[in-house]
Amino acid sequence: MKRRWWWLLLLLVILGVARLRFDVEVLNLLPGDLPAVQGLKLYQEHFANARELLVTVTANDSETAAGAARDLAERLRRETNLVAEVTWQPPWLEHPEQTAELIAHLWLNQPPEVFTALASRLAVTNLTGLLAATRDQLATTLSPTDIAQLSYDPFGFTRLPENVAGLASQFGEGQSMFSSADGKFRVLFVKARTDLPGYRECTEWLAEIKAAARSAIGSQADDSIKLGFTGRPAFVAEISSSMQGDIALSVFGTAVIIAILFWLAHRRWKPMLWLLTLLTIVLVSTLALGGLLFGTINVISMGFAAILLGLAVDYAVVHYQEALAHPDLSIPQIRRAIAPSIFWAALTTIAAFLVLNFGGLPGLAQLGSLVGIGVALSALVMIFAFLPPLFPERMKAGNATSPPASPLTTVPIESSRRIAVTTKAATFLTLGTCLVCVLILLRGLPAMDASADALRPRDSQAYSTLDEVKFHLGQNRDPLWVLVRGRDEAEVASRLAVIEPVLQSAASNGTLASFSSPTLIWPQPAFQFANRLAATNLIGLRPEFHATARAAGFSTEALGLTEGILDTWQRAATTTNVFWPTNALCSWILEKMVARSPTELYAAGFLFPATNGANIASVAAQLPRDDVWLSGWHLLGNSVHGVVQRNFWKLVVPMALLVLFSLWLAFRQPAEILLSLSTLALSVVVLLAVMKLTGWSWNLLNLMAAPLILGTGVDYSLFMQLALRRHAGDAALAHRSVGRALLLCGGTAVAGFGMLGLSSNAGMASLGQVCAIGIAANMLISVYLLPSWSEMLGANRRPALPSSFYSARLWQLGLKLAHRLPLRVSESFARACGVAYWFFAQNRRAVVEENLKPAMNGDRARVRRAARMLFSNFAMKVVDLWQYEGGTRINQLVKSWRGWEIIETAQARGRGVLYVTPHLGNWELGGAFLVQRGCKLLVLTQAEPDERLTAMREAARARMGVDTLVVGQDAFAFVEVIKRLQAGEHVALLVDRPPPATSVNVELFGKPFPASIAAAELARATGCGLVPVVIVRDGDGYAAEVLPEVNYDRAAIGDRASRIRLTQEILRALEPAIRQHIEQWYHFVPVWRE
Amino acid sequence: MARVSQSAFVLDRPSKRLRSGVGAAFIAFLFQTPALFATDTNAVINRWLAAQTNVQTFNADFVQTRRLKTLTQPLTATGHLWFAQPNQFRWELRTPSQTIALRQAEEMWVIYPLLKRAERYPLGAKAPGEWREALALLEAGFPRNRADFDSRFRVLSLIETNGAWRFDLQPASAFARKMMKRISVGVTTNDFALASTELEFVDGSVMRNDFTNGVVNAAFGKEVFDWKPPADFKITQPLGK
Repeated sequence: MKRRWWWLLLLLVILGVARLRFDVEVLNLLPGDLPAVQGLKLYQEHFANARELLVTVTANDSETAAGAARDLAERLRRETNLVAEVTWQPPWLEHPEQTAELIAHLWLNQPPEVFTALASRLAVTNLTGLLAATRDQLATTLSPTDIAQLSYDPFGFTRLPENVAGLASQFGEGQSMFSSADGKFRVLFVKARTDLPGYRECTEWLAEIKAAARSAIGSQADDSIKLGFTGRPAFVAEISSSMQGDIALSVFGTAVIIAILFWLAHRRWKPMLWLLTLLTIVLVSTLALGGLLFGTINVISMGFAAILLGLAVDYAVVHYQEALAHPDLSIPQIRRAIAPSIFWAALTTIAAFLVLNFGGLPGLAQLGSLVGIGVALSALVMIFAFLPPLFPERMKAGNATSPPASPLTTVPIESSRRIAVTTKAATFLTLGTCLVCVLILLRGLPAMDASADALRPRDSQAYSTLDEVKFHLGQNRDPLWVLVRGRDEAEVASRLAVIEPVLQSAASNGTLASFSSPTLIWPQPAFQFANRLAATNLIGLRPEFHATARAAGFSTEALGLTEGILDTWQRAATTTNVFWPTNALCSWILEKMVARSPTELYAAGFLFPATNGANIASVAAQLPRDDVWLSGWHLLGNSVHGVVQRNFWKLVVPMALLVLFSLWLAFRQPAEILLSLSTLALSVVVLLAVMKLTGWSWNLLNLMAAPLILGTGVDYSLFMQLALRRHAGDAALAHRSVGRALLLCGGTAVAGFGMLGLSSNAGMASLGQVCAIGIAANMLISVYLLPSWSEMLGANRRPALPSSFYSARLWQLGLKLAHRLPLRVSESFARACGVAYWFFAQNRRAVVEENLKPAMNGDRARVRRAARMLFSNFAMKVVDLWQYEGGTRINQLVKSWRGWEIIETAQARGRGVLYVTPHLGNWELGGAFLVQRGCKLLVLTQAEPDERLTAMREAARARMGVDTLVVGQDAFAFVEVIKRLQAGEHVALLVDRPPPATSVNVELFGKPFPASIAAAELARATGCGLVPVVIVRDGDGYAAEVLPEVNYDRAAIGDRASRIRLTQEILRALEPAIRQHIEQWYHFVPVWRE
Repeated sequence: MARVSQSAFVLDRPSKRLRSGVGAAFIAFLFQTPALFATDTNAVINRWLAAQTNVQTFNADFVQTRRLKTLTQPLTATGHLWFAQPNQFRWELRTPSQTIALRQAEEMWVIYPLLKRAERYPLGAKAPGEWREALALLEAGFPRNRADFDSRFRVLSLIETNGAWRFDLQPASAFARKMMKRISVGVTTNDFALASTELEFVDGSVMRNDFTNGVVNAAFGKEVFDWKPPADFKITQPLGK
């Protein structure tokens, strides 16, 4: 059956691997429904030319830079198999003849009245005058622009309407897109010959381009000329290689640290290597299952590997230590003992990571899910597969000779080195830490970085180059994009018409420093159609243009632009569709602002905010909502940050509740819960202080550390406090028990997150760093400070004294209530109080369970049930005693007596009868019964915790005719007892829980037990009969049983050893009754000798 | 030109040896000519520059001829130039003025009075360095000193024709060379007065100014170089803010 599950898992893994793909697109990390994200994705998909690489050239002077750029362009153009085109200067400078098509297009999209005005200006009758004016202007102008323009455009086609002339001025010289103002920095746009769909294609292509570029520059490269590469191919290549590096580093690094830590703890090769093997299997399987579930895994999510390694190793460590600690237990037994703890621990960890699915970031949700899957898988693998190969001889389940202990528990790790910290030192450390942290945080909390920088790679050459481009080309801020979508040109045009005034208003009121809108270049189908006739007429004037130009002294060269414009209009007139310019220059311009697919068209405008704090939201609010997006990296950061902040409570609140619930289930004591919460709180303070000191800031990725630290960090305080409980608050024992294990498990988790801190992605690195610090703080505080806090609070100490409830005041109250209330009511109330006390008094309960364990062979479930019943029974017993002391007749309480003849036999010898009884059932009731039978009884007892209570009990007994002798108050009391016995009277004595003076070690339930030697002493002194008696609850009354007399030879108990043996016999006689009625064996302080 | 003895020419063909010697001498002369040429050029330049030190003001009429690649015939326009040391000038084309190029202390204006339009070019520290170098070419006819001259120009050639020295200069600034291949300055040989300037642009166009009626050191009022744009003028700054 088990094998079937493994085969099933293997099948799923194979399917997952087949389906697995990697995605280096950072935007896919982000919530897809955010307008800013949608806009960015659309921009990246349609506009950010996926095939375009920017190559930057930096030189010491402008001539060198220009020359290098030109050489580079020429060299790359020769690589026709790699490069489709290279643009290193404004294309209209390199190919001025191609501007004709653009100008023709701009005219064609003018309102008909404007085009008509052009046609009128170019009427045949006006041409001569027009050219004369041109000549005149050429003769007198001192403007190089005018000279150039008029020389090649004598008819003034380039005198576009003012609104369109703005577009021309944007391009103008155009050098600002290709060169810095001082000319020492130049940019080349290199377009790949083929598509570069994936990271492999990008990486290979980029390598070849770099080689070609370096050969073009030759020896000048890196000496006087520096090259840079940016753009999508560079980003993708860089991110993918970083990703591979990150995975290798994080996985390998974490594995090495795990191996080292494991070796330091255990010094064994085989389990260490087997552990690494299983971790590898878990990792690969998780990745495959992630592939099956998600299909594509984002580069950020690959951070799961290091985290998972650090967490998964804990389960193996726990199992292994348990196996070493209990060599007598079989592997199945260990598994049964450990599995529940592993289950709960894994559940809280899985919950902590699955909670990331509510954080609003799909990328982190994927990371959380992968870790969750991995933790579940690793728990299963470690439970079922880690130990068997290491302990093949222990695979058969055998009888456990000692009960399995809790994980990370009872047996010391192989080292006697003390790692505990003294209380004084812990106090000093705690106060010192708090003081230092507060001093640091007085300067302020760590800042919050709302930008999208967390999504960027660290130390990225491509980004550095992009920053250089922006700096040198005068773009101090990232532009925003306004994207418009439509089904056809008219739809987009109408939307642009709505947007344009909004942008102009924003520019005029100072929100925007400037903007460039595609409105001017976007086709206006209606205008194009309307202008076709006028254009056709102008085309028909071609011969007249030539003739008048010649007559005016213009050469053929002067008419190149005119010819080009007329040719373009000719083509436009013959098409029925919307006219788009198509030559290389126009394509180069259009692809920056226009994208066309068979079903949709997109237009992009660029907005430059006036300041970093510009109120872009007001602009966004005025834009249409449908098919219009305002986006940009700056907006992205703010938008995503907003999502993260809004969803933050969904992460933290469930985790906090889960943590509180876990703590409550584990401890049920406010003090201990408070200690765990204090550990968490101090670790958070330390984390904040470290962040402030190192200059780290919160960002939209590392905010996710909060639930992770909560969910994983709380385990350390939990385990430490459970250990303190088991060892009655002994910090040294607790340290030896779990301290090293916690350091090992915590160390591996810190290693896993710490390796993530080396990630090439800034956000993931910060997440790893913050988690590592937070968990490390949690772990160290739990191991070194928490035990001392616990000691100071007394939170985990086993109570050695009776409960404070055991007081005269309460006893009096109880007496009154028992007297007034009906019996059934009193009993029900008592039972409820008993159970309630069992529930709330955790420490007392632990004491009782420890006391009961030896009688039940350590069966925890039975012990627990018996303890619960014991508390209830005790409450009933107290009520019965109150009833009795309130006047209820003994016969109503004690329903049966067995063995009276034994008493008569002992009494007949005339040397007195000594009744020996344990704290079992309601032993007080026996006194009344004996008195009823005419026996004069003296009860030997210890002082109650409350003096008044002692007096009250004495008085109550006296009313029943029973004398009391409080042992320890009178040095000669023993003499009185001997006299009474010699007089043939009856004396009763409790033999378990003796005062130290009369305590000797005997055996009970196979364990050393302190019993009273007083009975044996009295037997030697008087020769009295030793009669064990028990009075236990049976149904709704009590049954008294007189056990056979303990026979002894008075002469043979002259020495102490013999009397100890006699004491042993007494206990042996009582043991069966105690075992049978263990739920009535009332000890609320520790009774066993350690 | 080398001289050959009449006797040698009449009586006989020059002997091979003589021809070789003449040839060698000619070749040697040719190789020596740059040195001789350089020496002469420097001397002339220095004399020209020395003459400039005495020029405080200059004004003259000019005829500007523009030969553009796209025109089959040159364009001409008349105008007047005023110049005052150290660097103020006013070029006015046509009457009434169609174009005025006015150099003030920290800026230069190109004014189109009829179009009510003016272009402002900042000079001094505010101007982009390269543009400063380019605009300085407009002062080519009035170099201040040798250092200034050498920093702005490389001398391509010096020719004496028709009673005038013609300096063919190449702008030293790479940026300026992108616009202009050559600047020729013509000065009279007797008193080094400015006779002509010719600018050859990279596209082959040429702009030549021939000066007449030049007057040196005449007094003219400051109003010649004073100008504030009227309110109805459209002002542009082609070099950006």
